[in-house]
Amino acid sequence: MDENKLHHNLENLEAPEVYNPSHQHRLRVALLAAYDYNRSAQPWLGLQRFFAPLKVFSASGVTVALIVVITAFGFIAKNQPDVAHAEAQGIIGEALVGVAALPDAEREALGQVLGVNITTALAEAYDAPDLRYIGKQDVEVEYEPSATATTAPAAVAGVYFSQGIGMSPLTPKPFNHQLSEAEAARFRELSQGVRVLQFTNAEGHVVQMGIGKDRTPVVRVITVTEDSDSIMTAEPATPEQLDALKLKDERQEHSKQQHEQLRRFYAVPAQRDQQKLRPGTFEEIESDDDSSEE
Amino acid sequence: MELDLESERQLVERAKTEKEAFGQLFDRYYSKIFGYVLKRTGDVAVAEDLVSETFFKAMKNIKKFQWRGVSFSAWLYRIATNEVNMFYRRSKPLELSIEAEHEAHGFDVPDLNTPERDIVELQDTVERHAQYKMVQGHLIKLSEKYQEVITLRYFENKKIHEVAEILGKSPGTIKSLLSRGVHKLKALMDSDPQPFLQQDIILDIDTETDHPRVPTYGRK
Repeated sequence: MDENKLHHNLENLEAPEVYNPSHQHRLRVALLAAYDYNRSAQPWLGLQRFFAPLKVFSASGVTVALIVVITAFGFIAKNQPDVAHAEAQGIIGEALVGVAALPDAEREALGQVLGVNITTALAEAYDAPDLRYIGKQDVEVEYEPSATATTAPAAVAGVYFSQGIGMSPLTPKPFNHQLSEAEAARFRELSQGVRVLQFTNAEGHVVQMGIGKDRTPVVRVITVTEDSDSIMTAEPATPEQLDALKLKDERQEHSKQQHEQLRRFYAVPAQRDQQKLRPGTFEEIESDDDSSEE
Repeated sequence: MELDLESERQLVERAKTEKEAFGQLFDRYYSKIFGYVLKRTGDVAVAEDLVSETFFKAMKNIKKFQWRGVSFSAWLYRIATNEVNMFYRRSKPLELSIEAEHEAHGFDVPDLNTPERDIVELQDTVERHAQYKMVQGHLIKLSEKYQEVITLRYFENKKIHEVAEILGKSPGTIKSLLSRGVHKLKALMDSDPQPFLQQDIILDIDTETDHPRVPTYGRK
């Protein structure tokens, strides 16, 4: 076969014609919603861009600590009829703008740790007919010093919404990851005031999405109703996700004032910072931070 | 219905301030961009995510868009191309992903954000085009620059100058990339004519007949 013939055959190659109306619809709705917010939020976007270099991956760090997938039975949120569907869509619209304003690397990292494309997930939420705003919630961080750990002092045992949305405290599985007590404390601080939305996804599962103060999704909970013998459990991010990230305090890098505004965890994917990313190195990072502060 | 360039230019200008106009642009080009990304990746769920990113970036940046006398779709194709290339850079190559999923799970892993039947139907559509799939199986082994030009030229049926506009390269460069890309593609096909199980593939691109057969894709 000569290359001319291959050219000819390629020109006659029939590629599949594809249509994806459901995705098109969801994306269209979300885009047009974000379009409105994009225009109304321009000053805020400018602020975002100003601070963007200072908080790269911060949202990802929060997310990786908060992401939980819950398999639950009888997990029913309380009705709060005073909260309108439109209000919920407004929050999602803000989140779409917030996500759109993130630096590309941060948005990608956020998607990686959430395990979904953020835009797609928000579009799905926006388009859900039963989307509603449940209220502000603090995300509880349960910190349990580990009695058996020999390589690190403690671990965060689990996270869950505190109360008020019908969720009993879960019996969470421990994070397969070690955090210092100081890091857990900062984590708690970041987990306050998350705006929680709820909707039913295409598979019929209840999804709760927590939008953080910076307008980015920080938690996404999928509730799967199973047989009556199901046990309520919570699983945080996969070990692979956690292992691929490190938590770091930004305080030594910025002024105190900036730090107060931006104080948060952030995570750096492994490939971006191989040297500092080793299992069980949070203590080292913490000690590095301490020394640099001095 | 195709818009003439002047009508499209006006629509794009309106889309900078009117969401309804942006919606019209979206409706007009969604399927083309989705098809292109799907052909580059071969994975419906991945294509959905990348297309979402493409249009969001378009929405974010449409105020910066400057009309250059070519279709707005060229800009969208360029954004989509960047998205696909970034996807490949940050992840393992997708080669054999469909097969790997079948082998590992016996089914296509559905995206939680899309009705499963849509995923299955779309994936089936791709699967039915065995000849295309075979070529794509080789194509994804080439470097990005060759994938881009070959996909746009042959799968999207773009003219050389259109591919040049989309990729921001000169027509001469595109011709050169196409020539080298096809040469490399041929080498791959010669060395491994059956990258996938494809007993139902009809078109034999090694055929010595004067008139290449029209592919019949899965029907013997």
